[in-house]
Amino acid sequence: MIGILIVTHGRLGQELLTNAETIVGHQEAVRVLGLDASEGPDAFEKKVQVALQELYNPDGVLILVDMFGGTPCNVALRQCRGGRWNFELVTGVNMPILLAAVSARDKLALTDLAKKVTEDGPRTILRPLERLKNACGAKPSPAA
Amino acid sequence: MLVRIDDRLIHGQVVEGWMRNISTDHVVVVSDEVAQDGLQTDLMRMAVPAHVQLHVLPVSTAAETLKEGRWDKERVILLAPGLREIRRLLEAGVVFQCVNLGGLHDAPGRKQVTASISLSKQDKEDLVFILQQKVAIDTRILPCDESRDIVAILNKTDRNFQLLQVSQERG
Repeated sequence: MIGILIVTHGRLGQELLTNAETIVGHQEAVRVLGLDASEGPDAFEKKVQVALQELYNPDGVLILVDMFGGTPCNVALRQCRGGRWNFELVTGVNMPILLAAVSARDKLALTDLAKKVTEDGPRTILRPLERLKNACGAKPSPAA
Repeated sequence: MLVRIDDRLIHGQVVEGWMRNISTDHVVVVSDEVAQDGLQTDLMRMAVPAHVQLHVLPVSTAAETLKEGRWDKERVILLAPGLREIRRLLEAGVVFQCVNLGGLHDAPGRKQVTASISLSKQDKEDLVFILQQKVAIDTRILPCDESRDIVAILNKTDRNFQLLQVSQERG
């Protein structure tokens, strides 16, 4: 099974996982790492390497990070050096993306899973009020 | 020119915080190690907005270019991963009025001084050298933060730091 490693600033990733598990139940082969504000990049890099080692399996690992250009993302991306680990990385993790990743990972190969999550991601960002205009009725006047 | 020390180099605070604040057109990263690291250089190039130029230079090349004044008319952020790089630029004859000590995180040999700054013995020696070149030290993590007086904090909490300043002045 494809392993999932969530790497974010602070507790963001842990909270995403904890709350995703209230929806889809406990998940195997998932690790979370959160970069502390005072933490050095080298110590954090070692943690990422330990997690990749723990998740190591023939199907590979999908790394989900909060934002491109942040230290969690930079440190994770550096692990591509020397081709030691078989992983893919997708930025911008949110609840629907995490849910999609855990449910599709036993049906798709690693690269296809990463592509699917990347395509699904933007579709999780909506403006529902646009579609609900009629149901909501007229806007109240400012004087009210 | 903003001169910033941050061991995370180009990351969220720098791109979203400082670069927007200064309307940067040019980022110069100064580090012998990173200048040789193709992967890190590529990552940084992807992380800066498209309109911003990026140079990743060893200390000696950066020193020569700064002394020539080549970037004087641009809005530049000069980024160094440590106090050592700034010290070496000063030793090479570059002049700075102020350095932003934005982030030196926990690492072996370092002791925490403030939330964003941890220093080793070598770091403190480099800091004292920098101070003796009459460079002001600003410790804001982000532009809107207040700067904490790191020298006052060290003088109050670290007896060795006081002795270091005295011995470097004499030496």
